[in-house]
Amino acid sequence: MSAATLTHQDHEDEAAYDLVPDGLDPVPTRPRLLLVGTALAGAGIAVFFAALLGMYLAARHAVITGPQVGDVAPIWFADSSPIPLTPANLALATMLLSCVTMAWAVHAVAHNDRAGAYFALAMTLLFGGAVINATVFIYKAIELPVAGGSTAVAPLFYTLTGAHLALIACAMVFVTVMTLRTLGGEYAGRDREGIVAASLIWYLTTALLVVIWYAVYVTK
Amino acid sequence: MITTGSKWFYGVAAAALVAALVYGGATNPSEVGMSTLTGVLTLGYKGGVGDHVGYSILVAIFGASLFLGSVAGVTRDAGAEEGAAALELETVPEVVAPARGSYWPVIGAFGVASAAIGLATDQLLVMLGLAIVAVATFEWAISAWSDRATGDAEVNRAIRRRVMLPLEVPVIGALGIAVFVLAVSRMLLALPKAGVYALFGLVPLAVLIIGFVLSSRPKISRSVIAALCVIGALAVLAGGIASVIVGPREIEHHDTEHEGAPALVIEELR
Repeated sequence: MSAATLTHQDHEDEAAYDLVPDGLDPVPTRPRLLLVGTALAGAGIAVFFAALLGMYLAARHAVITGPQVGDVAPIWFADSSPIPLTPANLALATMLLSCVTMAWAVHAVAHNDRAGAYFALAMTLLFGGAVINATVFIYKAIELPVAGGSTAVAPLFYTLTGAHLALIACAMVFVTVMTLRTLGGEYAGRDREGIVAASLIWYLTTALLVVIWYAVYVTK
Repeated sequence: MITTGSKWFYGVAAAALVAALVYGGATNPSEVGMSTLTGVLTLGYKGGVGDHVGYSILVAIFGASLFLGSVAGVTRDAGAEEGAAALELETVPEVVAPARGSYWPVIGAFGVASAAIGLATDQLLVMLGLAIVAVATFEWAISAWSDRATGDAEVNRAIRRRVMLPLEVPVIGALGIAVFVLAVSRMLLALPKAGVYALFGLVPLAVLIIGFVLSSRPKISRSVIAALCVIGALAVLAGGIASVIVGPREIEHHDTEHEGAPALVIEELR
């Protein structure tokens, strides 16, 4: 039907199917609120993890420089099997890969490549899930009891790595929400603040994993 | 040009770095030497540091401040003029307050708490917590979007209803039916036989009478209907929970091994 033959009723029927009525533009939001807020939250998260890591390293240092038991040097992970490095390396490599897909998502949104953006965000979430899986594999492999150990290794190890798991989960929720908002058409082209904010937290999560990987899994 | 905010954060970063170097070296119990300096400069890789906790926090403050200084520089301190220029507007838009308060963050917090408690107690609670968090996140995101869909709060509310009611009504309805059936079944198992007859007889009668009274009135407030529904739901829920706590009554078990018994009875009659 051509526009010329459309009746008034037809126009009303078409308008009834519009989710957002024509002529009512969205209220412009103040820019960079989310980005600056996320940056401040990220700084707080970094200092929180630094404090946790400091406590972990201080307790570890006190144990390994402590008195020898017989002729045997004290071991930090005395109550568990040795930490397998392969899943830890895989977790780190996966997280680094996810940074590439996250950067791809930001680039795709900036260039209005919606299909590319959805694919990249889905890949990022998939990689995040894989890192959680690898960490759980490490938990199962080392068989470290939470309570009743001879040192404070268990509560400190689980608190530090568990807090990082929680951070990955929160970052995944953040990315999911931003994906939904991108699906809704809220972010595209120049206005990609939400995606950039989510990527900021994602890069921070990766940077923290690099530190935990070296301080916990490599040095053991 | 470095902005004012950037300068402040860079200053904090410099102070934190100096404090970390001094603190890490000063709390080191070994003799002061080149390894003391290399230790604090290489994060303890070449030589040691003293108090790990304080040193780590100060180094993190250095890194975080450096990062925040960079963000402040990139966003030009998130200033009003720069914001307006970014949106190609005359003035920067005001921060729009939400039209109505949202309960989803509170519900999400309950979900997180439920998942955390479940990690130490029951896996089912973890699943329930995660499901609550997922639902709250989705609903919260939809509300955040619809609140800013247009400049008219009433239109925004209508948009939200149009998107979510086709999803919320069947899901909440199905959940309500499931909870109702479960609660009533627990009550029927817990009550004595006479109580079951009374429950079956009196509750439908009460529903019928209340329905008759309500329908006979020419006009009735929505809040009265809502209050009656809430009271009814709470009564069913409380009855179900109490019945679970009390446990089922002693039920007489029938012998199921003699399924051919009626045939025997017929033979006896002959």
